Amino acid sequence: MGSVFLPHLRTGWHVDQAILSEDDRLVIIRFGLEHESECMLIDEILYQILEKVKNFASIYLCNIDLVKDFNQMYELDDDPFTVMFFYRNKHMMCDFGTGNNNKLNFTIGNKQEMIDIIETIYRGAHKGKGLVVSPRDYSFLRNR
Amino acid sequence: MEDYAKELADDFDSSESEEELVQESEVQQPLNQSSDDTLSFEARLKQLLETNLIDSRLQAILEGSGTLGVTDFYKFSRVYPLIPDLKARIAKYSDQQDSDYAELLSFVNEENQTEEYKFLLAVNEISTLINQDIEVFHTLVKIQYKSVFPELESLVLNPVDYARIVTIIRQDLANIRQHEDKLKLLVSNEKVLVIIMAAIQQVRQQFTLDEEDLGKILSCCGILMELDAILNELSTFITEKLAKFAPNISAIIGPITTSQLLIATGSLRQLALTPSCNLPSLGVKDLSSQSKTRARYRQAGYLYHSDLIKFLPEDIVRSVLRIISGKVILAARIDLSNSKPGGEIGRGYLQEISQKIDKLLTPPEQQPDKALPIPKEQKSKKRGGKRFRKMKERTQMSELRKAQNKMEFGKEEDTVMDAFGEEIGMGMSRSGGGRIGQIKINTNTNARMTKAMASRVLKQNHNQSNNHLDDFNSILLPASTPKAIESKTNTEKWFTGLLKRKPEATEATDSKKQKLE
Repeated sequence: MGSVFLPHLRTGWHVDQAILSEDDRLVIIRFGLEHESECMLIDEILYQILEKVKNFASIYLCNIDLVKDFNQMYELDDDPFTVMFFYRNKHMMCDFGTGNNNKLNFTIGNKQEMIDIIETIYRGAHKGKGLVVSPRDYSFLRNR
Repeated sequence: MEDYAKELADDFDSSESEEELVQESEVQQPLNQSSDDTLSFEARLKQLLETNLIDSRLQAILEGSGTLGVTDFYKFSRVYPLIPDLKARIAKYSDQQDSDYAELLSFVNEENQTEEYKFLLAVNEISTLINQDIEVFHTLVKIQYKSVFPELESLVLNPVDYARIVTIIRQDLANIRQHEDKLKLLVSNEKVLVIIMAAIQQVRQQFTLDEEDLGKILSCCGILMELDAILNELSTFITEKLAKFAPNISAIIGPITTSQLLIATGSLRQLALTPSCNLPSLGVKDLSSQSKTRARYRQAGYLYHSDLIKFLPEDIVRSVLRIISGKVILAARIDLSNSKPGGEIGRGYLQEISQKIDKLLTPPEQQPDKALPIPKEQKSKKRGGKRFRKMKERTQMSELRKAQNKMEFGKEEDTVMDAFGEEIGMGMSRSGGGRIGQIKINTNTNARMTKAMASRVLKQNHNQSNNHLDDFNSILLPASTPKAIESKTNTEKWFTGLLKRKPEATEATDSKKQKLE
């Protein structure tokens, strides 16, 4: 249900504009397919935290079947969903312990965890860092 | 229980014999009965109200009678014979009502109540009896009509509607569509549709009763409807009476509940004197009752069952009861003083109450999530410095303690036993913390005195020692220069620690001097 209420980016141009438009907020884009169950879960979490993090992050959704421009570049095809973070047109990396620092592609347990990750990334981004360490280690998800 | 049964059986026998008599002399019946009734109407009414045993009665009817054999069902109703009288009285009192309103009010205030007032109170009890009778006849009709159209009783739950529908469709299930318009007057269109569908389904397996049995059913239905009619008449009678009698209260909670409250308290004066907190518990059937039909709410009395509260959700009932009972008592006082016979204030209260109920029923406003602050890291305002460093050092772990927490590799640790018999390891604290030389003891953690405290202590000591010094000076140095004394005092200031010893020494020298002299 969460996907209904969040802003969708319909073309590659929209995605670019979304990333470029924000000056002092994190841009969080969820690439994925709304009808898949795992994607629904993350959409629900993102929708629920939207109000709370609006001071330092904006959240968008992007359907990878409609917008195929980034599928190859960001390797979006393999996962049910991919959450990526940008700050001032710069891709933010986060060391989750999963081996892939570029994106968040695993289901997160609750809202607070997501908020913590966003806050950490924002803090790092504000200091000019490109890579931050996640507040929680998700290396247990590695072998799944 | 046996007594009850016996009584019932007696009742039954007597009524049956009576009925036989009646059947024999059908023409005389109305005359006889009416004469009987007029003589003992009050007594019969009283008796009726006292022997209020509906449940066992119904059972007795079903067990003992063999319903099929009975041709006249009037005897099953206790109220039915009283109907003509009731009607007469209602007519009588409702004619009078305009003239005797003031009179009626005065009865209520006094202890000796007239018959009219008693009747007014009895009407309330009778209405419950009539309801019970209606239930009995409903069951009777259901039992008999089951063979024709069993589904109807589950489709139409209201006894009166059920009886009316039975009289309309009789056994003619196949042509039920002809009665559609009549049915629509009684029940909703959807319900009519359902009834017709069920009837058409039923036609195939229908069991046709003979005319006599059908006649019985119809007569039962007739009695039921008659009872309903008298019930309506009674309630309009009460409404009219109470609208004049307690206009403000009945404007708030309706005439039925008003009469119930009046009966429970005894009179309007009593009701006006009742504290409002006691009002909800009036009419609570039985506090220790175990019946499952009881509401969850403890004070399920008359007010709880009134129309205002009946359909409210449980969680606001409590506060609504409190609001209403407060207003009812106020209205009762107004009615007692008879200052507003039109009931305007009661209506005003009702409006107020319904506004409050609306307010209670509105769901709480949904508050949006509060946005979190931007997670910016602020530099701490505290900077370094000698004082700040010392302050931090005071709370830090001492070197000795750190050394105690370390262990030397491959050596047994020194231990001591403390007062509680616990073994405490000394770690490297004895051997010098792995460094050459002894561990430096942190002097910052020593007990400290504030400046003010230190000067106060100094002053005190100074005063003490000064006394001795004065003596000493006077004895030892009678002609000493003031400069010498001054220098003495200066040194005292610096060596206050020595002062404690000094008096003894001076005394000793003093005594020596005296000996010498």
